[in-house]
Amino acid sequence: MKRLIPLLLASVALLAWAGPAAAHGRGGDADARFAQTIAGMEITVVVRASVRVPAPLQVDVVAHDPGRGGRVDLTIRSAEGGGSSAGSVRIEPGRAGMYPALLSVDRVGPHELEVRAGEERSLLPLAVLVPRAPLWEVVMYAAFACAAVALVGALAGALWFGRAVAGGFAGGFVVATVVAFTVGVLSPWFAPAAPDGMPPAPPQEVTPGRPNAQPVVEVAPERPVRGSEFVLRLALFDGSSGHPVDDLAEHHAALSHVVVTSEDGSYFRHVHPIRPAPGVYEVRLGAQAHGRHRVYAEFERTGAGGQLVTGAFTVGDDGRPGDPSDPSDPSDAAGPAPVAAGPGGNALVTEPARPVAGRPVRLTLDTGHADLQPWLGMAGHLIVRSRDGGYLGHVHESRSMATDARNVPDESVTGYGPRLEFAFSFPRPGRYLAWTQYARNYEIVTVPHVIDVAAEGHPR
Amino acid sequence: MRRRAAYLVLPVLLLTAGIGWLLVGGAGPGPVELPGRGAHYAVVVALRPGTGTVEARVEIAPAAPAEVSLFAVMPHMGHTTPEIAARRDGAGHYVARGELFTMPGAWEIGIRVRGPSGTEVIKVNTLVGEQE
Repeated sequence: MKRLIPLLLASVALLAWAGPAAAHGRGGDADARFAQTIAGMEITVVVRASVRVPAPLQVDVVAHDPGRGGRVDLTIRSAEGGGSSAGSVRIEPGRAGMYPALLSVDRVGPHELEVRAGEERSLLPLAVLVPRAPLWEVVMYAAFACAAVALVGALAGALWFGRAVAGGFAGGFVVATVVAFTVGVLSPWFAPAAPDGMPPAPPQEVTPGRPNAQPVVEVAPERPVRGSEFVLRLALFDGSSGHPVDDLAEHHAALSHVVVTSEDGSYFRHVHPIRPAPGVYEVRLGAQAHGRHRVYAEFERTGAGGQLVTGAFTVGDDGRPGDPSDPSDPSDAAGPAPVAAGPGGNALVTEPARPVAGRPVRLTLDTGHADLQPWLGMAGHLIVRSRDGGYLGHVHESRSMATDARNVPDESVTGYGPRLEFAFSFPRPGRYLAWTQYARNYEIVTVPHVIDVAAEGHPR
Repeated sequence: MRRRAAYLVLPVLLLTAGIGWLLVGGAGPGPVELPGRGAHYAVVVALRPGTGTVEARVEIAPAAPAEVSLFAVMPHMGHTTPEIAARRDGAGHYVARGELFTMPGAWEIGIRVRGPSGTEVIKVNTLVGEQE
């Protein structure tokens, strides 16, 4: 027994040794997801998890908005050398859905996935990971195997070789069994094994975070006119070093989530820019409302928390009749009227009926359908903007958040609805413009709302 | 002889305990008492922090009649849950029943107390495990 205790202590110390943290919050057994707004399409590129390399690599292109459709070329290459592998899918106009492609990888570690559609090209950095069995699991199974051998040895020893041999094997059986059970019972406290290919990172508890990132928001042409197409470009720079920021992590299935709204909220887009070059994010949009537009970009730097940066641009008037009066005048900014559409009404019900600033409120949307699919890892998204545009909130559906963030349900799963529930605390009283978004039949449904929020002390 | 018996009995006990632990799978979240203090009130929240419906008992001091409600925030993930109104259960004692935590992890419970001394939100922290 005295010999057993040091052995057990040594095992525990060895097994509890912390491995490198999962910097992206993605384990070796999770898919990588990149939502992209490219060539007029809204797609999510899903790189399926690898079990081993070299091996084929399944890449699914989920077309949420197929637009005019077209060919999407995919090429993956290792950042550490070696060959590349290419494949393509052809998105059919009007057919939202999943389009599979088969590529191959010959090594783990950092890779770049090039997505090319039409004239646009996006370079998506990702790490090819292969899950590794944790050390405690290896020790436990080895100890059980030793126990089995020792048990057979003890029985054989008792039959043919006498007491001493049998006793020795029996002792071995006891030691191995105790080690196996001890390791098994203590396993929840041991550090998980980092998958092969994970970039080196300090343990999570000593990660100091990263400096702020600041955007330069530009549009080309400089002043787009209503009815024309334009490119919105975000270049991100580090607030401490001034270098381009090119360490964005996959965050809710995209490198960055960009919301563009006109001042009056009549124009709303939630898009996912392509990455044509390191630190640069671009998206092609159509100008539909004239006046000032606000840009909100939400992203997360690797090893740091989420950030929201903002910018603005102006769409010029094309002189056509029927243009609203200057929407940049806040007195005119009534916002969109609540929409009543679909079998469930699609009206957002708040509880209490009149939300009070600073107090959490439940917001429920009855979509009328029980076959909703996750989009960006969630059953629903609620985007809330204060009337003046100074605040933007992004709330996720409460029920779908209750799953393990590392095991995001697949886009093909139709397990949500008909009710989508959100909880949110409006920061200040006043009028808010809100948009709920969810996916059905792979297509994104966007429903606008207007919510009036009372001040504390007002009857609820 | 006694020593030899100990060699046999101790490992057997250890194995039995190990098997018992694995079968039981560890106990569910145990009850916790979380004290907090604001400018006007001191509170103690007693609950079993788990996902699903929980019952929270709140004791406030001074024990003047007050309107008490609870909500929770998960700062790391940016989640919040709607307010649950607590009903009075004796002088200074309140009970709230509902879903406070949508997933396991570190949560902050906000106890909103509105009484003669004023209105304030007192915050206490807890770790939430899986509900059995």
